[in-house]
Amino acid sequence: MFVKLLFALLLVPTAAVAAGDKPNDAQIAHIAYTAGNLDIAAAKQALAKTQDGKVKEFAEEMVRDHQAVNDKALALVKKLTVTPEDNPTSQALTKTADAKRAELDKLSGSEFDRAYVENEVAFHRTVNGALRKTLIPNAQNPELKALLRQGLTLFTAHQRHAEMLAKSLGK
Amino acid sequence: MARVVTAAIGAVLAAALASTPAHAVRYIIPIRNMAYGPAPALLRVGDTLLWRNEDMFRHTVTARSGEFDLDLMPGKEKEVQLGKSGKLNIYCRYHPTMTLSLYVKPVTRRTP
Repeated sequence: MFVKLLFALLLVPTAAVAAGDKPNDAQIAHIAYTAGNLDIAAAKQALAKTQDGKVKEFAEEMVRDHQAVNDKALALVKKLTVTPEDNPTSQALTKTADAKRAELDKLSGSEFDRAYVENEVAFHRTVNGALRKTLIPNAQNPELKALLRQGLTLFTAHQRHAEMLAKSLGK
Repeated sequence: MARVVTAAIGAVLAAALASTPAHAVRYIIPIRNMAYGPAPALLRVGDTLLWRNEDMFRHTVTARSGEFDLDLMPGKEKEVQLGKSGKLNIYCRYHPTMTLSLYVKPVTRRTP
Protein backbone atom coordinates (compact mmCIF):
# COMPACT_ATOMS: atom_id res chain seq x y z
CA MET A 1 0.00 0.00 0.00
CA PHE A 2 2.75 2.40 1.06
CA VAL A 3 4.83 1.66 -2.01
CA LYS A 4 1.85 1.94 -4.31
CA LEU A 5 0.83 5.28 -2.88
CA LEU A 6 4.33 6.71 -3.02
CA PHE A 7 4.77 5.59 -6.58
CA ALA A 8 1.54 7.30 -7.44
CA LEU A 9 2.73 10.44 -5.69
CA LEU A 10 6.27 10.59 -6.91
CA LEU A 11 6.21 9.08 -10.33
CA VAL A 12 3.22 11.01 -11.55
CA PRO A 13 4.40 14.51 -10.83
CA THR A 14 1.79 16.05 -13.09
CA ALA A 15 -0.83 14.99 -10.61
CA ALA A 16 1.02 15.96 -7.48
CA VAL A 17 3.27 18.89 -8.25
CA ALA A 18 2.34 22.40 -9.23
CA ALA A 19 -0.91 21.61 -10.95
CA GLY A 20 0.35 19.78 -14.00
CA ASP A 21 3.76 21.45 -14.33
CA LYS A 22 7.03 19.66 -14.00
CA PRO A 23 8.61 20.29 -10.60
CA ASN A 24 10.92 23.30 -10.48
CA ASP A 25 14.26 23.37 -8.65
CA ALA A 26 12.75 24.91 -5.51
CA GLN A 27 10.19 22.09 -5.34
CA ILE A 28 12.73 19.40 -6.22
CA ALA A 29 15.01 20.61 -3.43
CA HIS A 30 12.06 20.54 -1.02
CA ILE A 31 11.03 17.00 -2.02
CA ALA A 32 14.59 15.64 -1.71
CA TYR A 33 15.14 17.36 1.65
CA THR A 34 11.78 16.14 2.95
CA ALA A 35 12.49 12.55 1.92
CA GLY A 36 15.83 12.71 3.76
CA ASN A 37 14.25 14.14 6.89
CA LEU A 38 11.52 11.51 6.90
CA ASP A 39 14.08 8.74 6.70
CA ILE A 40 15.99 10.30 9.60
CA ALA A 41 12.76 10.38 11.64
CA ALA A 42 12.13 6.71 10.82
CA ALA A 43 15.69 5.85 11.85
CA LYS A 44 15.36 7.71 15.15
CA GLN A 45 12.22 5.74 15.90
CA ALA A 46 14.12 2.53 15.14
CA LEU A 47 17.01 3.58 17.40
CA ALA A 48 14.57 4.11 20.25
CA LYS A 49 12.79 0.77 19.75
CA THR A 50 15.16 -1.87 18.37
CA GLN A 51 17.27 -4.29 20.37
CA ASP A 52 18.96 -5.73 17.28
CA GLY A 53 22.58 -4.68 16.73
CA LYS A 54 22.38 -4.88 12.92
CA VAL A 55 19.17 -2.87 12.76
CA LYS A 56 20.70 -0.29 15.10
CA GLU A 57 23.80 0.01 12.88
CA PHE A 58 21.60 0.43 9.81
CA ALA A 59 19.49 3.13 11.48
CA GLU A 60 22.65 4.97 12.61
CA GLU A 61 23.86 4.85 8.99
CA MET A 62 20.58 6.37 7.80
CA VAL A 63 20.78 9.25 10.28
CA ARG A 64 24.44 9.97 9.49
CA ASP A 65 24.21 9.77 5.69
CA HIS A 66 20.89 11.51 5.17
CA GLN A 67 21.98 14.27 7.52
CA ALA A 68 25.15 14.70 5.45
CA VAL A 69 23.16 15.00 2.20
CA ASN A 70 20.64 17.38 3.75
CA ASP A 71 23.41 19.57 5.16
CA LYS A 72 24.88 19.81 1.63
CA ALA A 73 21.44 20.52 0.20
CA LEU A 74 20.85 23.33 2.70
CA ALA A 75 24.24 24.85 1.93
CA LEU A 76 23.50 24.62 -1.80
CA VAL A 77 20.06 26.29 -1.69
CA LYS A 78 21.57 29.03 0.45
CA LYS A 79 24.35 29.56 -2.07
CA LEU A 80 21.90 29.57 -4.97
CA THR A 81 19.50 31.79 -3.00
CA VAL A 82 16.73 29.32 -3.74
CA THR A 83 13.98 28.96 -1.16
CA PRO A 84 12.74 25.35 -1.08
CA GLU A 85 9.08 25.41 -2.00
CA ASP A 86 6.54 23.24 -0.24
CA ASN A 87 4.40 21.26 -2.64
CA PRO A 88 1.77 18.50 -2.70
CA THR A 89 4.40 15.76 -3.21
CA SER A 90 6.33 16.79 -0.08
CA GLN A 91 3.07 17.06 1.87
CA ALA A 92 1.86 13.64 0.74
CA LEU A 93 5.25 12.08 1.49
CA THR A 94 5.13 13.51 5.01
CA LYS A 95 1.57 12.40 5.61
CA THR A 96 2.28 8.85 4.45
CA ALA A 97 5.51 8.57 6.44
CA ASP A 98 3.84 9.95 9.59
CA ALA A 99 1.11 7.32 9.25
CA LYS A 100 3.73 4.59 8.79
CA ARG A 101 5.63 5.72 11.89
CA ALA A 102 2.41 5.60 13.92
CA GLU A 103 1.76 2.08 12.60
CA LEU A 104 5.31 0.93 13.42
CA ASP A 105 5.06 2.45 16.88
CA LYS A 106 2.53 -0.22 17.83
CA LEU A 107 5.00 -3.00 17.02
CA SER A 108 7.94 -4.23 19.08
CA GLY A 109 10.82 -6.70 19.02
CA SER A 110 11.51 -8.63 15.85
CA GLU A 111 8.11 -7.68 14.46
CA PHE A 112 9.10 -4.03 14.56
CA ASP A 113 12.57 -4.75 13.13
CA ARG A 114 11.20 -6.58 10.11
CA ALA A 115 8.50 -3.97 9.44
CA TYR A 116 11.00 -1.10 9.73
CA VAL A 117 13.54 -2.70 7.42
CA GLU A 118 10.93 -3.76 4.87
CA ASN A 119 9.63 -0.21 4.82
CA GLU A 120 13.19 1.08 4.35
CA VAL A 121 13.55 -1.16 1.28
CA ALA A 122 10.28 0.19 -0.12
CA PHE A 123 11.02 3.81 0.78
CA HIS A 124 14.46 3.83 -0.83
CA ARG A 125 13.21 1.99 -3.89
CA THR A 126 10.48 4.58 -4.35
CA VAL A 127 12.68 7.60 -3.73
CA ASN A 128 15.34 6.19 -6.08
CA GLY A 129 12.71 5.71 -8.78
CA ALA A 130 11.55 9.29 -8.32
CA LEU A 131 15.12 10.62 -8.40
CA ARG A 132 15.91 8.69 -11.56
CA LYS A 133 12.71 9.39 -13.46
CA THR A 134 11.49 12.75 -12.21
CA LEU A 135 13.75 14.77 -9.94
CA ILE A 136 17.14 14.43 -11.68
CA PRO A 137 15.80 14.86 -15.25
CA ASN A 138 13.81 17.97 -14.28
CA ALA A 139 16.51 19.67 -12.16
CA GLN A 140 17.78 22.71 -14.04
CA ASN A 141 20.68 23.83 -11.89
CA PRO A 142 23.79 21.68 -12.58
CA GLU A 143 24.90 21.72 -8.93
CA LEU A 144 21.49 20.58 -7.74
CA LYS A 145 21.47 17.88 -10.43
CA ALA A 146 24.93 16.72 -9.31
CA LEU A 147 23.86 16.57 -5.65
CA LEU A 148 20.76 14.58 -6.56
CA ARG A 149 22.94 12.15 -8.52
CA GLN A 150 25.21 11.72 -5.49
CA GLY A 151 22.08 11.17 -3.44
CA LEU A 152 20.92 8.49 -5.84
CA THR A 153 24.27 6.65 -5.56
CA LEU A 154 24.00 6.75 -1.77
CA PHE A 155 20.34 5.73 -1.59
CA THR A 156 20.97 2.85 -3.99
CA ALA A 157 23.60 1.55 -1.54
CA HIS A 158 21.10 2.05 1.30
CA GLN A 159 18.46 0.10 -0.61
CA ARG A 160 20.88 -2.79 -1.15
CA HIS A 161 21.89 -2.72 2.52
CA ALA A 162 18.22 -2.73 3.57
CA GLU A 163 17.53 -5.66 1.23
CA MET A 164 20.48 -7.58 2.70
CA LEU A 165 19.24 -6.86 6.20
CA ALA A 166 15.64 -7.81 5.37
CA LYS A 167 16.89 -11.13 4.07
CA SER A 168 18.93 -11.81 7.21
CA LEU A 169 15.97 -10.96 9.47
CA GLY A 170 13.78 -13.44 7.59
CA LYS A 171 10.05 -13.59 7.55
CA MET B 1 79.81 -0.50 26.70
CA ALA B 2 79.34 1.99 23.86
CA ARG B 3 80.59 -0.64 21.44
CA VAL B 4 78.02 -3.16 22.70
CA VAL B 5 75.20 -0.62 22.20
CA THR B 6 76.45 0.25 18.71
CA ALA B 7 76.62 -3.44 17.84
CA ALA B 8 73.08 -3.96 19.15
CA ILE B 9 71.76 -1.02 17.09
CA GLY B 10 73.60 -2.38 14.08
CA ALA B 11 71.95 -5.76 14.54
CA VAL B 12 68.51 -4.17 14.80
CA LEU B 13 69.15 -2.09 11.67
CA ALA B 14 70.38 -5.12 9.77
CA ALA B 15 67.26 -7.04 10.75
CA ALA B 16 65.05 -4.14 9.67
CA LEU B 17 66.79 -3.85 6.33
CA ALA B 18 66.51 -7.56 5.69
CA SER B 19 62.73 -7.38 6.00
CA THR B 20 62.32 -4.19 3.97
CA PRO B 21 61.04 -4.72 0.43
CA ALA B 22 63.36 -3.75 -2.37
CA HIS B 23 60.89 -1.22 -3.75
CA ALA B 24 58.13 -0.50 -1.27
CA VAL B 25 55.51 1.60 -3.03
CA ARG B 26 52.91 4.02 -1.70
CA TYR B 27 49.54 3.91 -3.45
CA ILE B 28 46.65 6.33 -3.10
CA ILE B 29 43.19 4.78 -3.18
CA PRO B 30 40.33 7.30 -3.35
CA ILE B 31 36.92 6.55 -1.91
CA ARG B 32 34.20 8.34 -3.86
CA ASN B 33 30.59 7.80 -4.90
CA MET B 34 30.15 5.03 -2.36
CA ALA B 35 32.97 2.92 -3.80
CA TYR B 36 36.65 2.24 -3.22
CA GLY B 37 38.95 3.30 -6.02
CA PRO B 38 40.50 0.62 -8.20
CA ALA B 39 42.85 -1.77 -6.42
CA PRO B 40 46.50 -1.54 -7.53
CA ALA B 41 47.33 -4.49 -9.77
CA LEU B 42 50.53 -5.49 -7.99
CA LEU B 43 50.83 -5.14 -4.24
CA ARG B 44 53.64 -6.45 -2.10
CA VAL B 45 54.18 -6.79 1.62
CA GLY B 46 55.67 -3.51 2.84
CA ASP B 47 53.73 -1.36 0.37
CA THR B 48 51.69 1.44 1.83
CA LEU B 49 48.09 2.32 0.97
CA LEU B 50 46.82 5.82 1.55
CA TRP B 51 43.01 5.81 1.67
CA ARG B 52 41.44 9.17 0.89
CA ASN B 53 37.75 9.71 1.62
CA GLU B 54 36.48 12.09 -1.07
CA ASP B 55 32.81 11.37 -0.30
CA MET B 56 30.54 13.50 1.84
CA PHE B 57 29.90 10.42 3.98
CA ARG B 58 31.87 8.75 6.74
CA HIS B 59 33.41 5.45 5.65
CA THR B 60 35.67 2.77 7.07
CA VAL B 61 38.34 0.69 5.40
CA THR B 62 38.05 -2.55 7.33
CA ALA B 63 39.86 -5.81 6.67
CA ARG B 64 37.65 -8.83 7.37
CA SER B 65 40.76 -10.58 8.72
CA GLY B 66 40.98 -7.92 11.44
CA GLU B 67 44.36 -6.75 10.16
CA PHE B 68 43.26 -3.08 10.10
CA ASP B 69 40.20 -0.92 10.56
CA LEU B 70 40.45 2.73 9.47
CA ASP B 71 37.61 5.11 10.27
CA LEU B 72 37.53 8.01 7.83
CA MET B 73 35.47 11.16 8.22
CA PRO B 74 34.60 12.99 4.98
CA GLY B 75 37.67 14.62 3.44
CA LYS B 76 40.13 12.69 5.63
CA GLU B 77 42.83 10.22 4.71
CA LYS B 78 44.71 7.46 6.55
CA GLU B 79 47.56 5.17 5.70
CA VAL B 80 48.19 1.50 6.31
CA GLN B 81 51.22 -0.67 5.58
CA LEU B 82 50.59 -4.14 4.22
CA GLY B 83 51.97 -6.60 6.73
CA LYS B 84 51.34 -9.99 5.17
CA SER B 85 50.76 -11.65 1.86
CA GLY B 86 47.51 -13.16 0.61
CA LYS B 87 44.04 -11.95 -0.24
CA LEU B 88 42.61 -9.07 1.76
CA ASN B 89 38.86 -8.56 1.78
CA ILE B 90 38.02 -4.95 2.52
CA TYR B 91 34.59 -3.55 3.40
CA CYS B 92 32.98 -0.47 4.91
CA ARG B 93 31.43 -1.14 8.31
CA TYR B 94 28.89 1.63 7.71
CA HIS B 95 28.01 0.58 4.16
CA PRO B 96 28.50 -3.19 3.95
CA THR B 97 27.73 -3.22 0.24
CA MET B 98 31.04 -1.39 -0.35
CA THR B 99 33.76 -4.01 -0.83
CA LEU B 100 37.20 -4.39 -2.40
CA SER B 101 39.57 -7.35 -2.74
CA LEU B 102 43.33 -6.83 -2.59
CA TYR B 103 45.95 -9.40 -3.50
CA VAL B 104 49.26 -8.97 -1.71
CA LYS B 105 52.35 -10.81 -2.89
CA PRO B 106 55.25 -11.76 -0.63
CA VAL B 107 58.10 -9.31 -0.27
CA THR B 108 60.93 -9.37 -2.80
CA ARG B 109 64.27 -9.55 -0.99
CA ARG B 110 67.13 -7.27 -1.84
CA THR B 111 69.63 -9.03 -4.03
CA PRO B 112 73.22 -8.74 -2.77
